[in-house]
Amino acid sequence: MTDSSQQKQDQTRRTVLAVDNLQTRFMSRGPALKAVDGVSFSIGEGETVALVGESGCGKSVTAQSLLRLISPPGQIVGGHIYLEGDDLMTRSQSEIEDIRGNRAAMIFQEPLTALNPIMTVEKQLAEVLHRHHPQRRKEARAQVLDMLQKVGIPDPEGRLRAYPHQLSGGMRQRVMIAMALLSNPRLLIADEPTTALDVTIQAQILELMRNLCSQMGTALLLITHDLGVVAEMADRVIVMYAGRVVEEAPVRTLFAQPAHPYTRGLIQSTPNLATHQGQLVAIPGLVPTLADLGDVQGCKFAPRCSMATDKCRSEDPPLQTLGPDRAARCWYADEVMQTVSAQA
Amino acid sequence: MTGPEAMSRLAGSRAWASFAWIAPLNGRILFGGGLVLLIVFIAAAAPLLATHDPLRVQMSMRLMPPSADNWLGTDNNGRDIYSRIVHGARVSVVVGMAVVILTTVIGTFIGLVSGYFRRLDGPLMRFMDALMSFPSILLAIAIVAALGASIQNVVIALTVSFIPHTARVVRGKVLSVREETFVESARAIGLGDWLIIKRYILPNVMAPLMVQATFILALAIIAEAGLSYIGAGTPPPQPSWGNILSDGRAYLHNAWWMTTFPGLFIMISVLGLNIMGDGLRDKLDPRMEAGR
Amino acid sequence: MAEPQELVRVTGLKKHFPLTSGVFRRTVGAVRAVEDVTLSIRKGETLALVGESGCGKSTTGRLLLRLIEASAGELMFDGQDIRTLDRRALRTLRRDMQIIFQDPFSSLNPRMRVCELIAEPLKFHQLARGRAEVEAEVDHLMNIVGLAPSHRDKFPHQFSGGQRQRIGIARALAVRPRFIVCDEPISALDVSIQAQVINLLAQLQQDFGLTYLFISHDLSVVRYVSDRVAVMYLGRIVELADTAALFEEPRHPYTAALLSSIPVPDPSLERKDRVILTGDVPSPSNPPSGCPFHPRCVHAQAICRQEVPALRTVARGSGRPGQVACHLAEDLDLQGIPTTEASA
Repeated sequence: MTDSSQQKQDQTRRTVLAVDNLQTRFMSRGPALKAVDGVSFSIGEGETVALVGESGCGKSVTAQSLLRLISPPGQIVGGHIYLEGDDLMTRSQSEIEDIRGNRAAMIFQEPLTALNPIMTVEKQLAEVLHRHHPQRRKEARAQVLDMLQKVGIPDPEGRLRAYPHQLSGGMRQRVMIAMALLSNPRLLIADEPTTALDVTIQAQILELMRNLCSQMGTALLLITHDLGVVAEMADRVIVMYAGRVVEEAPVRTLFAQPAHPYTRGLIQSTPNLATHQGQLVAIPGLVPTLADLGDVQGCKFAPRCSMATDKCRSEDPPLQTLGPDRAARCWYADEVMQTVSAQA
Repeated sequence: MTGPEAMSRLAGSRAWASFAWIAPLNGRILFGGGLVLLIVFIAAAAPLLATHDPLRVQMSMRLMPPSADNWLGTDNNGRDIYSRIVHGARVSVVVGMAVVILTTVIGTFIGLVSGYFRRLDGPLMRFMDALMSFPSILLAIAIVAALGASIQNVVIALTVSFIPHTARVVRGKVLSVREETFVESARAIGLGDWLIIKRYILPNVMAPLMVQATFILALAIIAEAGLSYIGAGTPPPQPSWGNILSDGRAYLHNAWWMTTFPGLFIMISVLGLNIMGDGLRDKLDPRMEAGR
Repeated sequence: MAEPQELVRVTGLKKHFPLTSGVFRRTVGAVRAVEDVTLSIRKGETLALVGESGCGKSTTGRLLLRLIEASAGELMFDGQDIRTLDRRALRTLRRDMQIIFQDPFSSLNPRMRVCELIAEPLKFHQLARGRAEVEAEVDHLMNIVGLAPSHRDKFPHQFSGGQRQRIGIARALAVRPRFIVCDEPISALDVSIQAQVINLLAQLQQDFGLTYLFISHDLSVVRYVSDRVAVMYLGRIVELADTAALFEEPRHPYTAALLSSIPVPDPSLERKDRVILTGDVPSPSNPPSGCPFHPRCVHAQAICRQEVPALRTVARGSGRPGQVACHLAEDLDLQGIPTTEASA
């Protein structure tokens, strides 16, 4: 394990984002659905944290909540979001709008729907720039060109007048990244940024994000379902299940020695090009929907867990600290860690 | 919470069991549908509800304002307006229903064929466009003028002028449904075109079709009244809302009841249908239905 | 004459979709979706067809089933030329070959109940007669694919993605086919569910002696399921080999780049000399001259720009056979992914 040097570095890093007990609900005719149920984590300067989970686990809602992009019937009902020490929950709507795209930016899975279809690349980028840093058109253009170059768009001058639909998926995602990084944000939230892209293009975009964020010292929150992307990009990983954090660990530790049965299941069910061995081990059962979860007593993962005991089915485990930077929400975290080491 | 779940929960308690089917209906469907049912009831029970013979002329009773005997007053021939309106409802409902049924059947067929078999699409839709380029009421007047004024000819005229609207709606929906993977899956099993249309396309265009039908019904009621108003519709002395209105036109200043009450009935039925149509549209929207 | 163990043989398959423009739908060009595909599938094997979006892999699958008509080429199924079959013969053929679709949300008619969906092929091909027999067969099929027969009266939208995919599989199995085209059957599913479906497909193949064409964009999945792999690029097969040979010793630069782009869920893996392709896949309506891959290929030479390389047998170091469409196949030293021991 070579995490000790990394940990030292973490301690000296300034915290960019700290989330404390975030709660986001969706109001429905029945009981409110707890999409995000008490999530806490932090990201340091230049650090990449991956938020991992399957559909409906609350990872995207968490990301949207951070910039208060939740609209009814969704509602943030509790918790604090500190961006460089400022509590965003106490800010007014217009103050939040000043922060979005400026101190914190976001990129999405499908850049075609996230970009305005009737505006040229130049206009979209210049608008972002103008909103946060009013300046002359010429200077803005120079800055936009510079950014397009940085995100590796060939012939940036020619592309200035292009509309989003005239660009390929990979190019659009580059434009999105350029737009997000224009005002040098301290935090970049990337919600499944490469899921819609082909694998060769994904490799380009991931490398681009890695390089730019380390150059600019931007904290990156990467939301993904793909453990391969996590392994390549993240410093630390937060695994979510049913609206909660079930495990948090530095990336190498997480893959080498998962402490939660769900994390272990995810790793075992992910096809691995390098360690291909016979069959994949599936996690039995279904990915729960929010509506199903109201009825689950005890640990939310217990219905799909091969290790579940009566205790798991009746008592909800807390998120227990297992060491520096490590925590897991499982009564038997120590045993899970041991069984994995024994296998290896 | 989705519809079926809410339903099963409601159905769970026995006292509610017999009303469980109401749960998925929204307020607009109930309200609009209630108004429509009221009109249909009036039409069906007209002989029982009428207090007078709608055709009996009584010159001594000309232009009497609403009273205990003549609830909604009398017209220029001394006929009871209330009884004429109640009987007129039959014309409106019969014409409306006939037009809706014919329009829906023929329009759906044209829309299905045109949307599914792309080679027929061009010629069929150009023809529909040509029909649509006439304002439908003018087209109907022209047809009635050619065929003569009778209830049957009114139905024919309105059907012809409304078919393109239904055909267009159905075709548009067919074009999107035929691209769905489940149509390909039917083909992979070996199903022929007509079976695919019957089992896969038609059930999936039913929702917009039903919404369209309620609006066509409202349009037909208005158009029938309009045609009767200008004398190209239901031939007198048989009452229809349109020709009662038309009779009252000359007495607008001294007998307000002759125009107000038939107008009110037209308004109520059209309003009811439109509200119900809006409610249906929301209810049948697959995005609302598909949520799990 | 086809070899006895061959089930499917495709020779020189082409599909051009005309591009039209203007009021009169004049043909102004063609999307060359499939441009010369030749391959054979042996009885009982899984042949994977791999490539990025727009490479023609899904079109090829549909051409094989005659769901769309080929522009040119020969299609043999079990020694029978199926391109010339009339409507009736084609209907009988549908019993032998089926398809499983990518999107479990749009591939099931939302207005039909599960039992109707599964019973439809049974009734249409008169494989079960009478209500009792149909019902028994539907229950049997539901059991085979791991669905509780008690769900038979539900509608598709009441199921999760993985369950819907099982319904689609049951529907395909109903006609007792010999050959199934699996068109990205797991790419719309959550990771933990993907493994379930892969394992189910493997089980069914064993139990019923099925032959699969497994279409996928994800090479790491392919490694688990396939016996042989065909890699497609811009409508052509660029490499075809036994799975292990292809992964360990790729002979086409595109295959090597694909392998290198795939994120591996193992942060401890050091990946040297990663090839990250530049640029995008060219449009199939305007393919480049010569080798379709040459604009993105780092090894490209003059001949690559002029001549389309033929798919030919090329020996590998280990002696394992395979076909490659590259002028320089013998001269390049390409890196594959060695199979290592699983670490966790």
